[in-house]
Parts: sequence; structure tokens; C-alpha cells
Amino acid sequence: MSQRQLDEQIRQAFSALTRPPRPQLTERIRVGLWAGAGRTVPPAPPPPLAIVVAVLVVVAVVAALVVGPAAARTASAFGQGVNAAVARSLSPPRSAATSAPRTPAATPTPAETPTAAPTATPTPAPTATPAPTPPPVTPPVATLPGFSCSTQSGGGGQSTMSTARVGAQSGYDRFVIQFAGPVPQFDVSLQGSPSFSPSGGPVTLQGAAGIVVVLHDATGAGAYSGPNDVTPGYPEIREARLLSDSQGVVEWGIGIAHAACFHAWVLTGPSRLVVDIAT
Amino acid sequence: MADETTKTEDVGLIRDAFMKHVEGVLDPAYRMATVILLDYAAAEDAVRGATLTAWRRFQRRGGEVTSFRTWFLAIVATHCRRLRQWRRLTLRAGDVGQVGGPRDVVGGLPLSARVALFCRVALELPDDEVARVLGTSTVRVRNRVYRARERVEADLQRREEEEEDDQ
Repeated sequence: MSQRQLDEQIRQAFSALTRPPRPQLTERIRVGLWAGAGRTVPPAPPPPLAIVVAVLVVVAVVAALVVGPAAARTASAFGQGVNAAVARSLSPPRSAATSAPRTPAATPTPAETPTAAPTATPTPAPTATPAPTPPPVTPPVATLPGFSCSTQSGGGGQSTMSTARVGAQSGYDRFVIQFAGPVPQFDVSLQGSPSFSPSGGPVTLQGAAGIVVVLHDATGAGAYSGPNDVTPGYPEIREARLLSDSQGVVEWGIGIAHAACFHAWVLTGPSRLVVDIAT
Repeated sequence: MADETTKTEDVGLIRDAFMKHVEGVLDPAYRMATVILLDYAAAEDAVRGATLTAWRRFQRRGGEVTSFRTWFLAIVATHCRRLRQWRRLTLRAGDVGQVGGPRDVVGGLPLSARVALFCRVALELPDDEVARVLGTSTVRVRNRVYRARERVEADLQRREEEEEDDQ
């Protein structure tokens, strides 16, 4: 067989293996660009601060090993203080101060809802009440339609779960469950901690809050080929785990970095339940 | 205010230019994603995610990219391979293409050989461009394509012999 004939056969094989993109893909990309990615992007990433933090942590560890327990306590306290300061400076995307530049100038943001998390901006009257449980907070997702912090439901019918995956998108992280059949009835709700109580016993996932996805009249038995536990380390999704699958009820837990609003919706061809979590 | 309006218009113009570029390479990008992931729906999600990543980088560069096709395919390839790191993907009936025939021969190749062969033969990219898309050296690309061709040829011949035996 000549190389030309072989290449022709290879081309035909790849042509049979693949197919052209659906027109909907272009539309989905367009919607994504216009909805979330139209925000201006900061010109340069800020890695030096992370490097400084890493160096300080290494210095603290070395001090603990070399100087002794007393010095270690001091260094540790110093390191914690630095980390807390850095965390405050890095993590106020939910405060008005840093969310403002990410918002397009053409769309004014609604009034910011006060958050439970401590922020670097001075508050006019510091309250004495601690903030142990982050309540459903309205994140800066005004440009993303359909996001809400309350329970979202939909779907209907019996179905078999075939796979699941996560992805990081612009402005949100995505969790997808794919079905062989229609999307079954689902309830997606936000909770203040990453601890879940499925039938098998309590489970705590990575992250500071959680989203529970309950599927009714569904199962993955014998057909599910996806992962049971994923720790992608995305900005919002820290872990996603299949908590239980019994008696026609499937339960997924998603550990997330902050109590963020989400958008649960359905895609077809194949049937997918999509949970977008605002970052 | 005037500056902000101008800036918004500029972003709109860059976005239109970007979308035009994307539409020109969407077909090879989606097919390459399918070749890597062996799953149509996952490939669609991956291409969409990669496109949004590409858009952010495109903005940072002010719309200046030397070869958009190479640059974009490289982002899609990286995105897809990252997805594969935690996904257990197998070639299943009904997942991609038709069952049986030559598509199983290329579908059964190892990932690195499969995607190199696809870029080199199906997309007809030159060796150095394939290397840039896959983030490897030209020598490795040639090596992978050579071995993949050998394997496909042997497989096809074996299938022909089996068919003759059946008759």
C-alpha cells in the first residue's frame, strides 16, 4: 500500500470518527463571549504575591526546624498573620472594591449586598455578632442571567446517569451530569457548609460551602462510567462527589470555595444537567 | 465617559474579529477535540471552554496573534488533555462514529499518536505546526506520525486478511 493510499484511508477513518460541529456550538460560544467574557481582563496576572507568601511559609518552616519550638511558635504566628493579611487582600472579589473593575462600564451593577465574610474595607459600624454561617450571598454575577442562591428544580422522567464532568469557564465553574435518556427531576440547593448527610453516612468535601444535587427516578447502576470523586481545584468547585445512588435517588455533593449563587439548567443532545457556579 | 464608550466599542470590535477567526477554525478544532476525548458532547464543552480561555488571552494580547489557527488549536489541545487527566474515557459504541471499520483503527491508537496523526494527515498541518499545537518537538511529531502510520497500515492489512479468510 502506497503512502498516499494509506493517508487517504487514514483521512476517511478520521472523517468517520469525527463530525462537523453543530451550529448550536457557535451560538453557545457567542452567548458565552457576550454574557460573561465581555468583561475587561486585567492586563497582567499577579503571581509575585503568591511567591512572597510561599517564601514566607518556607522561612517559617525552616525556623521551626532550626531554632526550636519557641521560635517556631513565633514564626508560625507571624506566618498566620501574613497569610491572613494576604488572604484578605486576595479574596475580596465579593466586595465592592475589587468586583467593580471586572464589571463592564456599560452595565451598572446593582447595590452590593453586605456579605458575612470579613473584608478589607472598613465597615461603618462593626457588629459584635460573629459570622459563622455564610448565608446565601448575592455574588457579582449581574451579567450572568439565571443565577440564584435559592433551590432550583426541573427535569422529569426516569433516566440513567452515564457520566459527569467539571469545567472552569469564564465567570463560573461548571458541573455537568450526562444522562442516557431525559434529564430526571432534579433539585439543586446551596448550603453553608461542605458537609453532606447521604444515606451512607456524613461526608465532608473540600471547600467552605456546598451545593447538593438530588436526582429523582434516576440511577447510575451499570451504566455510569464517569468519576465518583473529582477534586479539580477550580476557583469555585473544589470537589464533586457522588454521595449516594440507591432506590432511584442519586445524590451529588459539590464542595465550593465560597457560598456562591448558581444556575441549574438543562441541555439536550445528549441530555445534560448543567450547574454553573459563579466564581 | 467618552473614553469608556470608546473602550467598550474597541472590545466589541476585538470580539467580532475574534469570533470571525474562531468560526474559521471551529471545524478542525472540534474534530481534534473529538479525536482527543472520543466523546462528542465532551468535545463540544471542551471547545467552548477553550474558546473562552482563548478570548481572555486574545484580549490581553490586544488581538495580536501570529497564527490564529496554530494558537487556537494549541489552546484546545491543552484544554482537552487537561480534561482527560481526570476523566476515564473509553471508546464506546455509539459514542463516536460508527462501530467497526477503519475508524476503530485510528480510534484505538494511543492519544499522542492519534492526535499527531490527525493533525498531520487529516488536517494536513506541517510537522512544525503540529509540534506547536501539541507543545512538543518536530522530531517527536515525525516519530509519532511514522509509528502511527505503521500501526494503522498493519492493522488495516490484518483486517483485510481476516475478511479474505472469512470469505
